[in-house]
Amino acid sequence: MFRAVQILVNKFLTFLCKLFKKNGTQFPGSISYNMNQKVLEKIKYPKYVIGVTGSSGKGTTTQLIYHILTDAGFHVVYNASGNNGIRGVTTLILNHCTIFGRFKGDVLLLELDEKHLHLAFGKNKMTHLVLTNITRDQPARNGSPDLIYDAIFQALDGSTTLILNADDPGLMKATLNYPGKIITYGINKTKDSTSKKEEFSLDHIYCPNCHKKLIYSYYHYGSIGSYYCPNCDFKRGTPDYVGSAVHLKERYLLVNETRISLNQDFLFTAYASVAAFALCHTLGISEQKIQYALNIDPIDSKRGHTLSIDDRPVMMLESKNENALSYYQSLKYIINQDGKKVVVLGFDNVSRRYKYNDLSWLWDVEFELLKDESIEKILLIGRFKWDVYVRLKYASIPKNKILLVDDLHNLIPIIKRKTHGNIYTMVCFDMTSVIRQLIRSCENGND
Amino acid sequence: METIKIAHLYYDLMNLYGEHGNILALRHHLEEHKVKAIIHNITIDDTADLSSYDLLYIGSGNKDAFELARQDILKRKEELKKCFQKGTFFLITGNALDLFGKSFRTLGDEEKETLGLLSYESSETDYRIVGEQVCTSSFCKEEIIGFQNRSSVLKYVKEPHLFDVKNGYGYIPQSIVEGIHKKNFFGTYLIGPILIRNPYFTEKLIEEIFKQKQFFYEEYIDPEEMKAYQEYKKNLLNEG
Repeated sequence: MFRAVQILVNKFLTFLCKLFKKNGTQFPGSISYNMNQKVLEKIKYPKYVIGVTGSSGKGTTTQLIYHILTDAGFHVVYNASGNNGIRGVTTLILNHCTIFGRFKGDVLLLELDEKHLHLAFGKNKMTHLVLTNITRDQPARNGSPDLIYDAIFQALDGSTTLILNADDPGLMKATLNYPGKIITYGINKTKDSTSKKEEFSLDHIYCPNCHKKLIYSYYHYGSIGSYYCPNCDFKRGTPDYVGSAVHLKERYLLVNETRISLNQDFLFTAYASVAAFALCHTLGISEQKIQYALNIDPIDSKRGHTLSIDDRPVMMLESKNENALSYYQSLKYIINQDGKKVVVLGFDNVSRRYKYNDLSWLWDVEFELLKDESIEKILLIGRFKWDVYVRLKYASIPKNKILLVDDLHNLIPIIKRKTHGNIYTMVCFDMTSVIRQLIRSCENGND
Repeated sequence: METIKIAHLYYDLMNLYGEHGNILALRHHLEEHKVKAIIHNITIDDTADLSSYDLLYIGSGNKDAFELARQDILKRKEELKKCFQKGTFFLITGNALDLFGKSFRTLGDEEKETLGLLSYESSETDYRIVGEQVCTSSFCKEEIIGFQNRSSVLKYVKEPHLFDVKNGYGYIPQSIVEGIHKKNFFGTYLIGPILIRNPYFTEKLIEEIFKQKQFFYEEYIDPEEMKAYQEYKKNLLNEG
């Protein structure tokens, strides 16, 4: 009975939010969740309840899974808004229930915050969980990767099938003691893989079983790659689903023997595609149907909106601060593009989730990549531009390549006057929209 | 050319929160002083004569890394005691500080042996101590800025403290003192990296090392580090 009240409250508050044009993805759930925090355990769920979690890549992976499953004829409910905490998830689930608590849909698919996983479900509700990676991410909130791992696995009892990234030894640790079924995926060596890495900021390079140092045959990025323990059986091995022949520029790869298209030319999109393939194939969807969804009927990319300044293309990358490897991959992406480049970096606040301005993560990012000859100028903006400047100096970036911009309104004129080449911005959430407006205003001839 | 030998201990384990930046700062500042920094990275099971170094550095690590480092460092206990007595410089940041007291008590109430170089006991906490930090110090006339992100506290400390807390937390969260400074041991829970973000403090440390080595010292203030330090205080502490 009380469950029905919670569901009605949730639906009514969502209706009010829509009526008053307010964002209703979190608020209704926060009220209904606080009425009884066990409400999600009392829902009659569909045959498939799928979670996607990890330090990065979970949004893209969830989106691809949604696309494939929907194309294959399932009625999928998922958190398209990206609200992956308990309140957003509660709003979504209760809004898709009858007042008797029966979920309306074939599949519940959720991108889940690692730390909210145990809040969302009791231990036996999820049928499948896709794990993308566990790396240092928002340290002020998460502490360290081992704490993220513990937070995820305290929510699992073995009844959930895991689909995990075997290239991440921090996740493969689960194979040592997870009592349930595990399906693995990974990506073979690519042209960007390296055989050596500085070990000053790698997350998992010791065997979780016997604590000997792992031996890597190659790294993709961070401690993600192909490894084995010289002392025991712990290894990446051959995953159940292997991405190979990765052609990012041409936007395709093979998963086992099946060629699939990528809707973006990022390595993390390749990972998301292999993960989505592995999950959907595990659910019984044929290679042909997955191929159709990804190759014939692909989804549009939401990242990297292209604008221009004086006919010079501007690519705006929305990069996560405080996730050193996500930041690194965006830098790597820029370097891999053709032509001379101008890069705009900066932020006014480190995080949108909390007030702290911890800057230590800057020293976990391999800014040395920007020494690349194709980088013509780097423009620094925001309150922490001097901290980023110091980091770039330590990365041996020549001073004459760095320009400090005090007033954001001077950014476009400086780009026009003092730089050449294609423009890439990699700024935090707080500045992306301002810069976009400035560029649009300039395109409209107001500059 | 004059040289300073630095050992970066557990560089591949105690490597959270960009702590490697502290080593980069030392190298850079020493280069500006025309002193060559010889830096050796040492990890578990490596053979090393620690007494041959002028400075030993250990940074923050996660729980598993801490445990591996703890087991290894106990094998070097006598050697490290000798280093401490003879005046080797120690720069210990983050939870590496928990390796140097008498013991480390886990949440499961297990008391684990640590080096016992210093008097205190460390305890794991069931909460995290996170936040921006501003301190003063009798060692360095300029304020110290940094960050804390830890889940342990020190108790029963007899050694002098390194910092007085202006904003933030002490080694016991409610206390107003942070860090340990005894002989040439400089230990703090602060991350940042502290030497990158505090050019004055870095210089004071180098001045002390030079005094011991009898090298000529003239203060070098890195202009960009200085600017970052000042901007932080201006923007976030509403100073200047």
